[in-house]
Amino acid sequence: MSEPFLEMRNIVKTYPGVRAVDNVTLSVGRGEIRALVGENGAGKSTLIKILAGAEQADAGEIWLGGQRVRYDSPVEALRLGIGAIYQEFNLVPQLNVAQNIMLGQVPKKWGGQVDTEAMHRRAREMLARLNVSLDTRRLVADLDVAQQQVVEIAKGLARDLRVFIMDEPTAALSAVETEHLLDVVRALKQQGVAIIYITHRMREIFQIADSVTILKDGRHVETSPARSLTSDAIVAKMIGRDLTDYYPPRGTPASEVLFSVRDLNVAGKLFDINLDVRRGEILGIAGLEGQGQRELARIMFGALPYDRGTFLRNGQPIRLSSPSDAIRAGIAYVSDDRKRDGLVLIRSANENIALPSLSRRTNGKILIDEKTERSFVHHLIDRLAIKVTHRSQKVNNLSGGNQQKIVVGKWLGMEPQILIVSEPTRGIDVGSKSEIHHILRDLANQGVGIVMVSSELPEILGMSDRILVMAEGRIVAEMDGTTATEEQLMAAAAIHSVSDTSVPVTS
Amino acid sequence: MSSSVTTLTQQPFSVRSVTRLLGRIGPAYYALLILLIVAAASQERFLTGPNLTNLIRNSTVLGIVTIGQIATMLVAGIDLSVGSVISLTTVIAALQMESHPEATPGIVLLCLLIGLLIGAVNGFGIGYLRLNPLIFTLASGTAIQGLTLHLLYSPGGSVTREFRELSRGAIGPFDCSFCPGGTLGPIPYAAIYLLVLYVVGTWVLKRTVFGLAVYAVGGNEASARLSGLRTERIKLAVYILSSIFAVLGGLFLASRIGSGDPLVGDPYTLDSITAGVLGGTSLFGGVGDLWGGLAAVLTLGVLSTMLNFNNVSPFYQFIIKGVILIGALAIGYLRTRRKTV
Amino acid sequence: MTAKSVQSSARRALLQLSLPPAAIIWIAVGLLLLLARSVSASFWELSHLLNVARQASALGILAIGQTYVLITGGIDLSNAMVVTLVNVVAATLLRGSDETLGGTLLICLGIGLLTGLANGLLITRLKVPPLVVTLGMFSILRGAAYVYTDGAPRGDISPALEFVGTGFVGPIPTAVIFWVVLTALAAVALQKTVFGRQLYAVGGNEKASRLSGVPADRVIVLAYVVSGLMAAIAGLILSGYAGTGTLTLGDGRNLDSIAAAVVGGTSLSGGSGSVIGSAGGALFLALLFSFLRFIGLPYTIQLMVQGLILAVAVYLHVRSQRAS
Repeated sequence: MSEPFLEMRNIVKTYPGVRAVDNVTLSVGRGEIRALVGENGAGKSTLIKILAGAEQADAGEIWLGGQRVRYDSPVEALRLGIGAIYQEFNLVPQLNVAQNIMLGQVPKKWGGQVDTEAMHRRAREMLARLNVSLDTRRLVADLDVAQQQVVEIAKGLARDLRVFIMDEPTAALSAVETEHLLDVVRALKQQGVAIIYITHRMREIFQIADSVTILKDGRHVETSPARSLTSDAIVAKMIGRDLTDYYPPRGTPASEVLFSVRDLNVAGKLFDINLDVRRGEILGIAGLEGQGQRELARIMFGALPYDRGTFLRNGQPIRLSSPSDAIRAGIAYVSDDRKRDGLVLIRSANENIALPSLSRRTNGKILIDEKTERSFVHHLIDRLAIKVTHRSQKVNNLSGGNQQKIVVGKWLGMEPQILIVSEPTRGIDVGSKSEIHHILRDLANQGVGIVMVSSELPEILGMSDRILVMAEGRIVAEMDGTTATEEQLMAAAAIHSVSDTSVPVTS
Repeated sequence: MSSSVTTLTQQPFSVRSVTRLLGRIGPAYYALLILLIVAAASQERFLTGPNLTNLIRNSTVLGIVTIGQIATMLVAGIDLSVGSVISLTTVIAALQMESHPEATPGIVLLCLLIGLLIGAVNGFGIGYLRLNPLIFTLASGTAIQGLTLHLLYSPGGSVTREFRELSRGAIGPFDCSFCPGGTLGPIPYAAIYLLVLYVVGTWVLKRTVFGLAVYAVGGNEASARLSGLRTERIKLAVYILSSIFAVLGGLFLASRIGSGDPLVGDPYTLDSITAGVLGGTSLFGGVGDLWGGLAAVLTLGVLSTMLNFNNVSPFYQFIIKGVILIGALAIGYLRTRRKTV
Repeated sequence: MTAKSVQSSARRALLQLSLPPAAIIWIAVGLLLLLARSVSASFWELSHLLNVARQASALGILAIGQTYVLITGGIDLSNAMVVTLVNVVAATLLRGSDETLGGTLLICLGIGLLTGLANGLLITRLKVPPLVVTLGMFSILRGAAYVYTDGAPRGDISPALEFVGTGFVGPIPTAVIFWVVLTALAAVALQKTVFGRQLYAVGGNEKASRLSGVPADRVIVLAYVVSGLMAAIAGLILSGYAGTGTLTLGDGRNLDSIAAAVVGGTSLSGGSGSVIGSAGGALFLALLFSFLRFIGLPYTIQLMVQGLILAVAVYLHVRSQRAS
């Protein structure tokens, strides 16, 4: 390892209720590729936002080339040559590709005019370095996710950074595109750029990283040369415990069918979907990301329109044209995006938990019976072990795990018979993850039929009684959850897929 | 080589792109075109020089103020203080010119400086303190209205004769072989002001780095900030521009009515927002342009001229204006509706 | 450096005093009263204070509806012109007598109801932004008032309505009774009913609310209907006070009602706010005006001060939100 060029010393950042970064020290040399790994919520994102000037640390110092630097905005960070590309794209949809790539350093002509020609030329050069041809005049709003990711990366390249932070740059890329990106990263390394590379993909770490820093719960766990580590060792250190005995024991599902989907079709998205949900089972829906699972879950909850298909509840056809229809039929839904779909962040835990079942606790349908509500909410907080200082605490001050428990908890008030969960443990810490898994299993044991969409293979394998595999909008395989293996699942998920099979399913 | 290049598909020129282009043209252009045809067809007097001149003069104040309003809307803001700034400008111009007729250029400069100051306060509150633009400009507008009434409680004062010429004058007529009668014009100064301001304004928004920044801030503020744009400074500049355009509108209005009136600017606040929205500028920022706004301003002008010609009570124009405003956006929605939760 | 950090930590501590915004405005009302007393004891005479409350009542009633709408994340600019339209219609229909009172009241409340319904439906069904819908409605209602009166309002308000606008029940102005009762009802509806909870939820996150089975469209429409009805009631009370029909009775009251709600701690971004706070906001503004008049400042200065207060209120509000 070369001598440190960038040093972050004793960085601390606290949000209400969470110490997101706790005394982390990190140093990276010129031409070094440092992989930064950790679970979601381990503090990676906060750390790099501090480095990029988008957040300010509560304490700590940043040194660059042997000098202490201070800045409190992305502008100043960029001026020092420190820049980042983020996981959630930071593009302006109304502007075109070139404008986005060059935003913040647009070439000028006389009178403050944009030098359009130079702007497009430079943007094309950046895209060419990524081996991508993309019309620089197209609006970003019209691009697909992979194209947007490419633009985001090109934007970073255009800045001639000395410290280049990349937050999961390959998440949306195909295998070929990923290879190109990794080549570019290697080229940047040759030019002496210090690179901080965040990824969940072990393969990439071992392909390009010189060294690995592992974070857990906001703390620095270890920094080691990549070649001294193994994939398993990294995972174990990220999680901080053994992976075995992690999932609750399975139950004994009944054969009674609670809910069925028949011949469901959505043009271009879903084709001839048929499935049954049985009492007391966890039905896992597996597949690569974006194979229609998410849409299927939403349609079963009445939250998305469909072209053709019928739904049977206890054998009787039902209409599912709105969430209210689904709720009336005893169906509940936990979205993969809890902040957007699941919670009213600025309201209290109490109000969130009570929301779907409000009318069940009224005096004569108008006034809410507060006593009943209080005991109901307290009961749920205890049952799900939700950590709140008070039930009136605002939800946006809670950790991801507790927020997710509230999303699950709010549905229990209406005693659902069918619970559809989509990526139920995305972005939450390991402890909460396990708790959520136990909650789901308990519900199944009480007779609830659970549909669990997940792109995490271990979760699918560890939780499901039965597994359906989706690819390109079709159900391509059904497996027994107790006997299925990772290899079988991967093979099934990949059969029909035109997108490259080497994209890993799990993080 | 070609095999290793990942080609991200390029959209070919197609019928779809044409309909999309038509879709992007704001409802204001359609409305203006239809209204012009109807007006010209139904009223012989409509396409006469004096009438058109009058139409343009009547639309000038709104036309000028709308430029600034659109700029604030492009950064996802709004400026509710423009009406009071217009009133304040007429009052200061009229009072000062009455007592110091010789200092007219200085008074104009003074008004512009006051506009700069007001815009700076708005821009500081909204850009740097990140206060809600609706409330903050409502607050500053209320305070300015109070100040204006304090200076002059009922209409009064008078501007100088030369100053009046600014709105009443015209140039020409010019020879023009293909025009009816062989001459064009006379062209009112007002038309030239509007044309110059809209051309320069469009140049700034569409061609300069500053203009690009305005669209970027309105389109995705977080992204603009992370890309190194000083979003606060851009907003500050936009609100300063908005106030300056309001002052320019106020100066024209003072020239036109010849005196100061502490409440005369009032309708322009909501009318300029109406014109902006009708012209296709989004209230949520990042989308829109000036020409749509000008088309909307002229649409409103033609509308009231037509009502006049047809002896319809001018009061109906309030109703029609409201229906057009809501209708323009409702049509936009109906064209693109999709059902999702 | 240390002095600065001490100062900033003190400030943080101050901001962390987690008083609800509604309480803060009532404390401000108290402080203003104390200040007024220190200037002149006669400000504290009951009759004077009740008179101030009477002046606040129409604004307070408008602010109730505005608060409901702001909680949904919307805004209602049309309420001012509901006031004007109700005023000219009532004056024209009543012609100074109570004979047609029942029908007139029904028509006036109907105007408010229909306006709210139209606003709500246009916003939820056609997805037109609330600012545009209510701005358009403002223009339509103004046109309706002008067309209806042909620009020259006629008629007078009847004795019964004048009693509502200017009369007293015992020592208490009738308008204040209306205000207090409506505020109490609206507060209970907001805090204790299913609708109230759904209103906050929809304003806080409309999508999540829909996915929780909340009939979001219905909730939003209802909020605008409440606002329309409150505007009609305020219009009747103001008519009683004005005594005749005028085309300017509503002018500026939309922005005033927003000011009262915001000063009272309601957020413009939706999901939070309270009618108790808005009542405090309305009372605070009325007291402030009365006080400024009392110490001899003209109306024009009052306007400037109102602008300043509004700016300060929204600044403090944003600061306290960012601190939490």
